[in-house]
Amino acid sequence: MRGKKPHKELKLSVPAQETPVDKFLTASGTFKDGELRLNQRGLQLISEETADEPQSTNLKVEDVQLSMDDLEMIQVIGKGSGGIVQLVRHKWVGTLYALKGIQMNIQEAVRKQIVQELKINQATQNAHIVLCHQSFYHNGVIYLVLEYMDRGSLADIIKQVKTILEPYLAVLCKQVLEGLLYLHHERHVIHRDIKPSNLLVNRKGEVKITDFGVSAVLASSMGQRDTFVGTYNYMAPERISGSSYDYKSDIWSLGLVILECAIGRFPYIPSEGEGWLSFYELLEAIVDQPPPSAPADQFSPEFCAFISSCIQKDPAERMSASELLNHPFIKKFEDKDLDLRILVESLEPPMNISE
Amino acid sequence: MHNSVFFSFSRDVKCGNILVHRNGSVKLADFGLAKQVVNPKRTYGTAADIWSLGCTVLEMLTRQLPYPNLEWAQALFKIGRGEPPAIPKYLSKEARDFISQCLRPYPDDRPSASKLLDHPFVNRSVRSIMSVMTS
Repeated sequence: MRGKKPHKELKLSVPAQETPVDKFLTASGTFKDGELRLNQRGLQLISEETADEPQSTNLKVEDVQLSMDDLEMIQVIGKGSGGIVQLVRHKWVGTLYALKGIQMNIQEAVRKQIVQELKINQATQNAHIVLCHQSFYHNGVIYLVLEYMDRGSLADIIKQVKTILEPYLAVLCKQVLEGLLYLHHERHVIHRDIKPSNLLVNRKGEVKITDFGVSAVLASSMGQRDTFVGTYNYMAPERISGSSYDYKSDIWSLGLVILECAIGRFPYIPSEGEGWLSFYELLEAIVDQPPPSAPADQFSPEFCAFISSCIQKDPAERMSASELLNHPFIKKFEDKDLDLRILVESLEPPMNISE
Repeated sequence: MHNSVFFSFSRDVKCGNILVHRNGSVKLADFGLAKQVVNPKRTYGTAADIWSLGCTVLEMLTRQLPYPNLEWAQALFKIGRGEPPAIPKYLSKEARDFISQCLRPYPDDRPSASKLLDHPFVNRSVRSIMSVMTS
């Protein structure tokens, strides 16, 4: 009977199982989390006092009539780490929307992030944040009915123009900073995924931020390699090294984006075409090397100083969104009647749509 | 769990089958991706599989991926730096020692598979399983 003692040593405590599906899905197909309910009819936030009589709150009047059945699909316009984005048209009104589908995921961290995005979208009202008109949950997919930005993303633009001149960059920066100011100081949200493909543009020359962090979490948890590296190119050094990070990490990302638009390549790619850094070498360069800078012989002192203010390695030395809005580079072009309309109208739209 | 480890050694399949058995497409991508992108200044050989084995055993015992509180880039950065994941103290002394030997930062310091077969974590567990099976 000696075997009994060694046998006891084999017993190990293990963490609890993942939350079963019925904790966040009802039998009728409603996704629930805390006070949030999401199904085919839309999003509801149910306060505790009215739990017995569920009713919609925070729904705008003009959106009450919006439902999945009202939308007809035109074509797929994007595939991000969060899922597929379709261009859809309202059958009766003719309005175009971008419909983004996010596959429901059983992992709690992802569900929490999705819930956060739903709540942010529900409440967000800012000229420089892509508007979410409505959201639905149906057959395992969460749908967001988003404002359609008909000139695509900044990534589409820099593919065509290669570089963007300083005056246009100042206008672009100002709009993104106003969006970040809203996210950081009014919504108290870190975006976490500022990059060219998440800065959308319309034909009026308006620039708006989209994708509040869901894609980053989804990319991590679902191992989507096609967007893996692109998602992390713009990650701040303190975040990569595992230190705590805050709103200033979005400022780092913005600085890299703007510098990329100015010089025509991602700043950490060697200019002489020596070859790509491996992914680890990229992370190491971001964490260990001095930050990139705008060449002083090609750019104005104001622009060089602006870039430097965004991509300080130490987040405490980075400027905030509100400080940057008062930077000489932004102020320099403020009184001139500049907008991006001229720039975007001279470019090919990302797709051909008959309207 | 030890049964899995036992068969892993006896069939010499290292991590692959274990990962497939546990919804392998995602988790295999995890390990494969880590291997693809880690520090190119370090050469890889059989010692890389020993690292993977250590991660796999750790995952089975803790029921979560190594570096559980880190984002992808943070985990990959630490792997590239040769910083091993934390090993919880609630694991047995033998398990902790086995895993820490597999996860030594320098490949030359890691034991070979044949040496690991003599480690008490594996050796004693095998004896226990055999005695249970025969009784």
